[in-house]
Amino acid sequence: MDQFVQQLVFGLANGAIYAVIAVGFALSYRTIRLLNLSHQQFVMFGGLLGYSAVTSLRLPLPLAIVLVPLAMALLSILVERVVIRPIRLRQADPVNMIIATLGVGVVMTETARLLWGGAPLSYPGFAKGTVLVAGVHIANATLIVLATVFFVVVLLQLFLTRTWTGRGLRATAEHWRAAQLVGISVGRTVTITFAITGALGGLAGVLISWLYVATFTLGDLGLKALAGAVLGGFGSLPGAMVGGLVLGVSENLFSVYAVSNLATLFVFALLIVILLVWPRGLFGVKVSEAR
Amino acid sequence: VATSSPASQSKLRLESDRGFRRSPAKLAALVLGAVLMVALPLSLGSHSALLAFLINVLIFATVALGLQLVLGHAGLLSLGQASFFGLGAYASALLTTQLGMPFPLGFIAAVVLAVLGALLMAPIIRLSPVYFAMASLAFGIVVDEVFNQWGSLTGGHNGLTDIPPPSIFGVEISSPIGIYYLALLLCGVVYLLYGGLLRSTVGAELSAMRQAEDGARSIGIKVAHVKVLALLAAAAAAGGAGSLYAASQATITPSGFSPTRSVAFLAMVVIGGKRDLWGVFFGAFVIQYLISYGTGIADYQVLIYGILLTASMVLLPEGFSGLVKKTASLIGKRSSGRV
Repeated sequence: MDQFVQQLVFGLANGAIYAVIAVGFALSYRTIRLLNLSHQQFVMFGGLLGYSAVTSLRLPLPLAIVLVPLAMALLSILVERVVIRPIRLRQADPVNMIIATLGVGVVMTETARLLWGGAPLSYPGFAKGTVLVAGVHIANATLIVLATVFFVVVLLQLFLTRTWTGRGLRATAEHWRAAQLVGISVGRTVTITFAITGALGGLAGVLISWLYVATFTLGDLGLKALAGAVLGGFGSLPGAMVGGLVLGVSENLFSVYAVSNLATLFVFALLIVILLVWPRGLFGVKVSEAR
Repeated sequence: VATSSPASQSKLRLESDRGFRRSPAKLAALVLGAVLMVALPLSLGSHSALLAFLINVLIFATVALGLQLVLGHAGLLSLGQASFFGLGAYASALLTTQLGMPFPLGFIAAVVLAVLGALLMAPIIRLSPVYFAMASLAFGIVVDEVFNQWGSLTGGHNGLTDIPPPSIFGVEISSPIGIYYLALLLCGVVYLLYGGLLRSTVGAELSAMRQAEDGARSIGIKVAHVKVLALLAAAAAAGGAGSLYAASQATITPSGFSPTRSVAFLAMVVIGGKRDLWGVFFGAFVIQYLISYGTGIADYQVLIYGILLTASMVLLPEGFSGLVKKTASLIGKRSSGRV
């Protein structure tokens, strides 16, 4: 039983990181109707950037957890300016933008492989050891990850509900033309959305690379969070949170109690099955293009 | 497929058929192209590396033609087209090696399995296009995992070896020239069938849907049915191409059908242009050239796919064929003195 609870907590830490990535996917789709297929590569890139920050630059990990998301937000804004904006202003086929983000993701993966090489890189030890909570050993790292994610989610929630910029984002998500009429700049909304998703990706990248390793294939792991976002109802932020957590826990239980090397298959088969039988997801989003 | 009322059809035809109507000039270009493709290997003689290159261009172009139909005409972003190609390759390879079935049966099984795979995705087409994009991406990953993990059936990472060359009614076609003509036949048949489809009512319906999906729905076009039809047609072509690919290569490994290969197919369509059938050949040629002759830059190959994908979406969204058409129409206008 203790072992089961331990695995549950372990999966919860993975799930919290998935949740952060899933919120990025969902936010991008909710506010600007874009499936951003470079998002998981921001996770990967952030993880590797974090590695360089704590090794080459000898920054303490907590500082890297703050700085890497900022750097990834800037990179994300750059991508938006150079790649996304010209396509958006041309008002072409919406799939063009998805293809472009996919292309950006491929460029990022390959650039990372050329810069950092193919070998997995581990962060130097930080906050090792475990604490005993109610008879269950929990790694310090797990607690730090959970606390960080909780803090960031609260921060994002405050931003979206208490600031005018955040409200503008939500208004755009509801109805971008109406939002434009009341003076909200769509261009600015897109930029801010990209900045936030980039930062969320970078944060998740540092956390996941710290728990495991940083490597150029980390995007494959980040993409699994998409299944979490879909499970919660694609585009719903609370859905992405809950979906990410459920996914992390169930994937971990699957790999411990079923077949560990089929975990990837499990996650993506789950994504297809959800879309086939229950596309509205946990939080019941609308599944047809309404506008 | 639903037929809409005659009045709406005639209106649609005005909008849609312009690009795909037969004209004497186009027919001449088609015949010239066909003659060139038939005569090409005869002039190459024993230049077998070049022949192997052209065989792959034709096989990949067949898959890319399908992806173009799905992406450029049905408006569905399929990010897992290589999985249909792979399902065909593995089905055909397994039946011809393990069960000793003749190639034509393996080919049919390949087409059927790929179509069944696509049929699984059909319900998702009813949702907004983003959901299909995600599902196809996931499908590509799942199929890739199956190829890699189900070792007892697929041979895992090492794949399948000793796949016999295609033989039709007892005649074994093992020479590169023979396989070239088989690939040309398959590609040509797919090209003509798709051309016919795009000139038919279905083509008009696809065009109407692309321009205004709600409008198309309002005049009685069964949007989801037409999209599913396009996806199945694309999967069938990919499955058949996979069967021929397996027989021509003798060895197949999962990496030939990975999500990265799906990106390569997408790049072929995007650089060639999403609308014109012939653009696909340009795209397939460019990408296969990178694979075959880019050994010095093999490490940058995937990086180049990524740059090509991104750059063509930003700078040249209609691809190479769109650029050619635009240039041609500009020249046409200049010479007739209208501009």
